[in-house]
Amino acid sequence: MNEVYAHSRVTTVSVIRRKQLLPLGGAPRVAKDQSVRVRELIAVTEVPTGHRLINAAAMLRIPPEKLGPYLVKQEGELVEKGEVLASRRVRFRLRPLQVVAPIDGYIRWVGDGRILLEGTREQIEVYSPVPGRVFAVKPEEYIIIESRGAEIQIAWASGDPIWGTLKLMDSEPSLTTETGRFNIDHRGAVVAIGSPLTREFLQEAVDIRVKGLIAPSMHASLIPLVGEAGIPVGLTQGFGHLPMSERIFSLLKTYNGRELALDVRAEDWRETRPAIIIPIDSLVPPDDQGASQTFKPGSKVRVLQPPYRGEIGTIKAIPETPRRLESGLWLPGAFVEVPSGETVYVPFANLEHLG
Amino acid sequence: MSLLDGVFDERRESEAQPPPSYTPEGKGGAVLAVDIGNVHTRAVLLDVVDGMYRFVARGETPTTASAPWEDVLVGLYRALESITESTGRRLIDEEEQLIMPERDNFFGVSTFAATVSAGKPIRAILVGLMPDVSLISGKRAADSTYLSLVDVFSLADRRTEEQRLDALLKTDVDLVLIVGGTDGGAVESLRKQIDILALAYSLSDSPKPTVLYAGNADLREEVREKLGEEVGLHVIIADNVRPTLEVEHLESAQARLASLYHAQKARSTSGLGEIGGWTDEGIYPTAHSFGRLIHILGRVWEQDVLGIDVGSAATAVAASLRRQDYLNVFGELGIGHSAQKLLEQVRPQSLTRWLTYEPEHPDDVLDYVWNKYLFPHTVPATPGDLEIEYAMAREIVRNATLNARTSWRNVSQKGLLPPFGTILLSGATLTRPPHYGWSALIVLDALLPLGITRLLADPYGMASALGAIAPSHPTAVVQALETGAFVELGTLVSLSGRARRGEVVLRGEVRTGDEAAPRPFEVRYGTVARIPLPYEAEAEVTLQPRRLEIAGSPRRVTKLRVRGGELGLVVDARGRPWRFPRSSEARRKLMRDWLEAITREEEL
Repeated sequence: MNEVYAHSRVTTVSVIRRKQLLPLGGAPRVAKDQSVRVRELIAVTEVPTGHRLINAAAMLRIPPEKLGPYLVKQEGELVEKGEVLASRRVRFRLRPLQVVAPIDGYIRWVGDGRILLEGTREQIEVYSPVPGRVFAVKPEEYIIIESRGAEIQIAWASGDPIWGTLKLMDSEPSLTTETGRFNIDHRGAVVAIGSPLTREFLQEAVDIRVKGLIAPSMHASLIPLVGEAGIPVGLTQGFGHLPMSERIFSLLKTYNGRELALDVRAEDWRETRPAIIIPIDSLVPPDDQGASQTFKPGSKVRVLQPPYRGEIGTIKAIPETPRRLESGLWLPGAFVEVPSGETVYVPFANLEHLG
Repeated sequence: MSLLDGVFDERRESEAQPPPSYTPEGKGGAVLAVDIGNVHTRAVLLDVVDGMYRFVARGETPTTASAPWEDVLVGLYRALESITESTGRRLIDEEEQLIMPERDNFFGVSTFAATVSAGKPIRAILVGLMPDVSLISGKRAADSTYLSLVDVFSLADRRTEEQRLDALLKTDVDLVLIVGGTDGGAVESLRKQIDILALAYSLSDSPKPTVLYAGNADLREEVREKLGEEVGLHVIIADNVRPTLEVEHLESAQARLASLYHAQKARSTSGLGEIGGWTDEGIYPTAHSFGRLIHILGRVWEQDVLGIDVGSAATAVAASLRRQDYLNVFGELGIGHSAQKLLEQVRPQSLTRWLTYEPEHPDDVLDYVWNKYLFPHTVPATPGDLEIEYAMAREIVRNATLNARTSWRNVSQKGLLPPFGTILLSGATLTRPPHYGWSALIVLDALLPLGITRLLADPYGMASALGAIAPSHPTAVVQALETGAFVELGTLVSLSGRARRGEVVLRGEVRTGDEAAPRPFEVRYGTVARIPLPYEAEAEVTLQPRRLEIAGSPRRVTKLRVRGGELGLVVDARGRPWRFPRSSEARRKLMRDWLEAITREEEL
């Protein structure tokens, strides 16, 4: 009855493994156990920019099966725009009938009287989201980078992965977001605040050209604006009007001024969450608790329901029978002590087990 | 003679796979059915008690398909353990294998069936000819499983051949579904489509998709040759979905899609391959089994039946309507994993209109939907959140059913839905509310049903379990239905027409066997009323509408026998159709009144 629905990590020092998915045809450029720097190229793939299917036989006014002898360029050859691909002299015409390449590329296929021209290839590069060691490589599928440091898995993020210096603006979590606090030091930094992200604050961040923003929450109506802003944004608690969890705020405070990665996943976040990763060279043993399948008294948990959404607490007791929630639903759950010292009943479905 | 004689025969003739042997008396012994959903893994144990199959025990755990477990077996073992704890029957041996066949009352089971809806839908493209002929049928076939159509290629496609080629090369899909052409008809147009597919996939470096061909039978060999032998794609042939312009034949393609779904899931989801190995027939998509059960209910009960299963990622609508079977799966319309996709179909105001209160912040509803998407397993903890969740449920049910209606033959595509004798609800949101009045209100608000409707709930996922075992255990299905597989919610009486608000539009009486005299009641226009009846009781009901009418009951006085249930008799006297008041305050008051009327507990 006390099964864990979701697992998440908010750790001070732990072994962090981030899986970087590769695009189709992605060829790794790193080997297992190799050390990598952040933003180092770890895989590349090439994709054609486009194809042109040319009905050469029709242009030369011949049946499809008779194209062969008139080909000037053969399958597999590179061609430039304007180059003649096939040509046929015709009686009573001064100039021969010609088929010319409409784009730069190479002849991928010839058949049925047609020529398929593949445009120049575009390279897609994949970079390491964190510094560390290559833990596993599966060509065309993924590369896992292992790192050591603080990991804070967060609720939502948008944009591209970034690496930058953390600048924490606030001294404590709150519900009020003041504007007019940016200065030149924030340019190019990853700015974190302890209060909800607002439209005005986002605009100021864009104006000063910060590298990224970390906030506890924002209203979902700001999502399109965040997309337009073009800077990565991470939310630690979720959508709504919520202050940052004390524990996460305190972690960010500890590491203020250090370099961090905001690892925004391109894959489905319910499977791998976006995370703030702060690499640390530490001799302290990792505090990984493992992925427990059941809640127990003493388990560290994150509450996923209002008014404590995103708060990190500890399970004090697990009653044997389900309890009634304020909504009227009867569900099994646990008594959780939240940072304010209050103990609240939370159904297991609304808890994340923290490791 | 089984009640199901003839029910399966029709399906079997059309299914491409040879069906399992059907014995009218069914196999004996305990039956275990499991369903692996996106949020929950459920297991149901049926066994023979006093000569009848009955629901004996169930287990439910969170699904463990994603990190950190990434193996659905982890959750399944826990679900089976809880059955073992409650029954004493051991189901898993030391090698972590299912104990089968059954050794005695305490070891193993004689039959095992599994269904799955967890994970992402199959990515597919649909290739066909005419948008309003073959493509419609292809789409209907595709709708029968968890499939996401990422592109459609047809004669109406305005893209150039090069653009279509580029689209094919850039799109990473698991399946290519080809339809088009009538059997014996012209082949040239479809051949051109097949040629472009052959060209694209001969050039592609990415993993090759499977091809399901359900078009003109004359091109089958050519498809096998061009796409199979020459290009190396795995080609599967099904009957033409449109053998003639007038005839649609989906069953064969749907059965093939169900098998493909199993194969694809077994490859991509750790643990499913092993679970599939415990079954005789492989793992079916949950919706496929749910649809099968609804179609069986339509035959057994000889009435039109509608089934709605709202899941976290997908919603399935199954109907048995005028002896025709329909199944539509909306792979990106759900209450959790797909929650934010709902916002592509409805505006936030469409959700807010169902609330009894004014949100503190205009974004509260939007925030809730997005948080639900981020944390799909969460449940509403406050009354306000509960209302938003059920507002989402109403819009999901409404949108899914109206979209499903477009595939129902000879049914008006405008206005109200046709009347259904029974509506079965499935999925935790619809079947586990704080009060079953919520379930009824969602149905009444979202579907505006007509006439007299029996309302059932399936809180334990029995529908897909029974659908999965139906081919091998028809007797178990019938007996489980007779011994109460579902929760009887009550009978909905929906009044059509218009009257003045507050006017008495229905007078009636109910009388159960225990009551000496009938209990009279009256219902006013614009209200919802609930007349409680004891759960197991049968009651005689007399209904005398004024000004309004009960669809399908032309007489002035309607007499019927109904079963008691969690709600009893529910009368919706809001008329059909009804509109929201313009004033927000008036709308909220009405919502409060209706909710209170249907969830109020009264002494019997």
